[in-house]
Parts: sequence; structure tokens; C-alpha cells
Amino acid sequence: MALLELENVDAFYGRVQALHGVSMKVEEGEIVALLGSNGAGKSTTLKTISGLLRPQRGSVTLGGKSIGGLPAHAVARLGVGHVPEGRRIFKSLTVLENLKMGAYPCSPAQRASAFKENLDYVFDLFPRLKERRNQRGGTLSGGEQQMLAIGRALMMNPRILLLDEPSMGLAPLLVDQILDCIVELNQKKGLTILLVEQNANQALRIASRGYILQVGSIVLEGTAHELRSDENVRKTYLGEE
Amino acid sequence: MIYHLVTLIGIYGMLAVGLNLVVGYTGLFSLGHAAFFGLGAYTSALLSLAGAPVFTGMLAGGIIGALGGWLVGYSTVNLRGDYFCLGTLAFGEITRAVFTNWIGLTRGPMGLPGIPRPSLFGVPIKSVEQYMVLALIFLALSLAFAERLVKSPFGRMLRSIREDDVAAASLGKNVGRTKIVAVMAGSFMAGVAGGLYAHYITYIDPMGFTLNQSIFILVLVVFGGLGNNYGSIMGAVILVVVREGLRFLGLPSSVSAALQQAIYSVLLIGLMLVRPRGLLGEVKYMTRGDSSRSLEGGGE
Repeated sequence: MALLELENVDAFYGRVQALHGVSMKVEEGEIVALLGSNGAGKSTTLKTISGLLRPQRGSVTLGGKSIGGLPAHAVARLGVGHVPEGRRIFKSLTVLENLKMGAYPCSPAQRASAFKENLDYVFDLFPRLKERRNQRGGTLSGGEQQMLAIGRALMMNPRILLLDEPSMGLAPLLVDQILDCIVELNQKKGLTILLVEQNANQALRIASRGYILQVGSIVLEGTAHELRSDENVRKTYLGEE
Repeated sequence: MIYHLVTLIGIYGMLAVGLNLVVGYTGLFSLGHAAFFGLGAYTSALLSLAGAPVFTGMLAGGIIGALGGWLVGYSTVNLRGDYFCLGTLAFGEITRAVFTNWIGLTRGPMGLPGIPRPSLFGVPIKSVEQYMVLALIFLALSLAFAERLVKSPFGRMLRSIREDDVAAASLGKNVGRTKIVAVMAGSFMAGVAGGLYAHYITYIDPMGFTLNQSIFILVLVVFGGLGNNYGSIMGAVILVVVREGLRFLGLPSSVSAALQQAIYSVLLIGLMLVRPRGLLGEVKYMTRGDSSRSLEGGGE
């Protein structure tokens, strides 16, 4: 059974339909890329999974349990860590406070020890955050803010991490650094990751499988290798002739 | 005279500290704080006129205030920004209309006279000095409560909602419930402050709980600086002295009323020019531009 599964999901913004029968699955331990151009419904799909948007039809299940239509905070507590587009860190809170905000939405029983463990892990992964832990979030650079947004989601020990365009607005060097961290999270921690990217090349480099969205529908799916060698994908998304 | 001023500062300080939890920390702009103040004042006054001990009345005032806060919080939980503000404005106007028109209970515009002063361990609190001490004790308790609250993880949650409620929800925080609790805490304090006010002045009428009063309390908070409890009290000290203090200079009322308005305006304009964050403020008074910018991460 897949860790995360969407079946025939329709979602709307008001009366405008944004997703048309989206079906996809993410297996435990995978990195799956969700690709598509602007407005294809990539972020909408993530929002529908994390409960920020309610699916009108279809089912969303996490480990076999239906999570479609639950409020966002309840979905987060079940282990879905959503790193939203544009990072959305708390700017007037310090780095440490931002991380604490991500901590313990689950059981209060394991709080203290789990918190320490997760914090060490995040600081280990992003030493820059440790250096700047008492600085306000808003004073960080874009790359550091992205690290903070990812770190904040890791603090709740998610079963699956939803990353929405982690490379947006970052210098190429930082993009590589962030993607390396994502690979490390996946390999060392075994964390399952659903990655939304405009930068298809980069995403297919680290993902094992991918889906391609076009105006709210999945038009193609396959392994990263298959997608990279597909004629259409190469032309449309990888910018090759 | 000074005792009277300090007593009023105690009462308005409590109102400001309570409202600061809602406006300053949680980022919910409320224009209805006088409603909770009035609910507390009427509850406490009516109960004590019916024979209940004054402090029981004050506690009941706080509880009724908090219930009003629950009602406002529950019904506006999905409203944001301007719409929350309009919701609280409407609640304030509705309560004022009830105070004015439920004549059988509140005597309407004629007001409630002869509200008893409290007594502590059988000793009646008669003099203004004694009442001042009582008001200051209440203010200190409110401040201690508010400081503890905002320094706790719950306070961090309030600030995170102010910054970005969607991000807070996606981190597993129950944003709606947290907002309601914040509004209830603020309105509980306002309700107790209402009781304190009613038993101090010994007379209340609906004119004390108007939109103007709500705006005045909001100005105390903004003046002192959003998101700082000491700032709220400082705002109360300065603006209550300006508003009430001039009465004691012995000027003819035609002069002092105009002078009071002039000083008040100059202070506000001056503060906005020199310190847009308020005296001790943590965050800027949010404009539309600011809040939309805060939703986007800074570029590289």
C-alpha cells in the first residue's frame, strides 16, 4: 500500500475547477517529482493533500487512512509536513522560535526528548540555522529562509514532506545545496518526499518517479528516466531541442 | 486628584493589556473592546445591586465578558483582517444598543446609579486612595497573567498566527481555536475591568461603552506599541493623563475640552511620525502592503 494516494481528486477555487481527477501515489521512501508549468495545479495538489484546500471529489489517503477534507492542522498532526511555496516563515520570530513552532504537534508524551533530537538533527543538516538561531527569521537570506522552512517542517517528524518549489528565487549554487539536503534527508533518514518544481531538470535528477500536470490533470507519469527520455517532456519542460 | 487618575490608569491599563493580546499579539484588529468592558460593568453592577458580593460580581463580569468574547471569536473565526474588524464593530454596536434599549434590565439611557463600593474582609473600600490600590493590584495581576501567557508556547502560537496563519495551520496548530482563546482572554480582562469601573464610578450608562471608547482603547495599544504589554500600560498612562488630567487645571470647560483634543491629536501625529511602531512596539501597525509582503519570502 502506498504511503500517500490520491484518487480522482477534483478541487476548486470558488467555482473555478483547479484539479480534474488527479490520481497519484507516493510509496514509502520515495522522492516523487510533480512537474508542470505555471498554473498547472502543482501547488493546488499539495494544498489539497495538506488540507489547506478541501477536495470536492475523490479520495486522499495517508497510510490507508482517509485525510481528504480534514482541516490542515489535523492533517499536519498525522504526519504531513508541508513546506509551502514562498517559504512563509514567521519573520518576527527568531529562528529557534520558528523551529519550535514546527515542534510537537503530535503526542505531548514524547515531547522533550523528541524535540532535542529533532533540533539537533535540523542544526546538523543546516549548520547556518544553528549559527543564526537567535536572529529574527525575516533577517535571513532567501536560501537560509528556505532551510528554515524545511527545518521547521522536519521538527514535527513528518511521515512525508511536501516541498513546494524549494528552489524558487535562489541562486544556482544554493539550489544545488538545497537539493543535496533533500537527497540526504531521503537517503539517511528514509524520509518520503513529494517535490513540486518548475525546474524539471533538477527535480528529475533527484527523484525516482515523476508526474506531469497540465491544466489540472495528470498527463504523464513514469520513472525519472522515462520522463527524461520522453520527447515531449524534453521539449516542453527540459528546454531541449 | 492624582489618586483618581491612577485608578483610571489601572482600569484602562487592564483594558489595553487585554486588547493587546488580541490586536498586538494575535494580529486581530478589534474595534469592539468596549463591548466586553460594558458587559462586565453591567453584569457586576446588576449582580451587586441585587445583593451579590462585589468581587463575585466582578468575577461574573469577567466571565460574561469572556462569553461575549467566545461569541465574537466563534462567529468571526473564519474572517480575516478588515472583516474581523467589522465583525467586532458590529458586536460593539449591538451590545450598546442592548444596553440602551433593554430598559427593564439596564434602565437604558437613565443608567444605573448607586452601584455599591466593594469591601474587603468586611472593611469597606471607601476612599479613592484605597480604590487606587485595588485597581493597581488588578492591573498588576493582569500584567502578570498577560506576560506569562505571551512568553509561553501559547504566546508563540499567537505571534505565529499574526505573522502567517496558513503556515501555522500547516504546522499542526489549531488556528481557529487559538484565536478564540486569545479573544476570550482579552475580553475576560475587559469584563473584570468593567466591574472595577462600575464600582468605582458607582454609576454607569451606555455612553461609557460606545465605539469611541473602543477606539480610545485601541489607540492606547497602538500608541504604546503593538505586542508589548508594558507599552500598553504606558499608552494608558500618557493618554489617560491627557484626557482626564486637564480637567483639574481649573480651566473653563470650553477651553480645556478643545485643548485636550489638540494635545491628543498632536501626540498621536507626533508618535506616528517619530515612532510608527508605537512607544515600545514589536511590530509595525500593519498596512495592506506590509501584510501581503510578509506572505512572500525575501528574495536572494
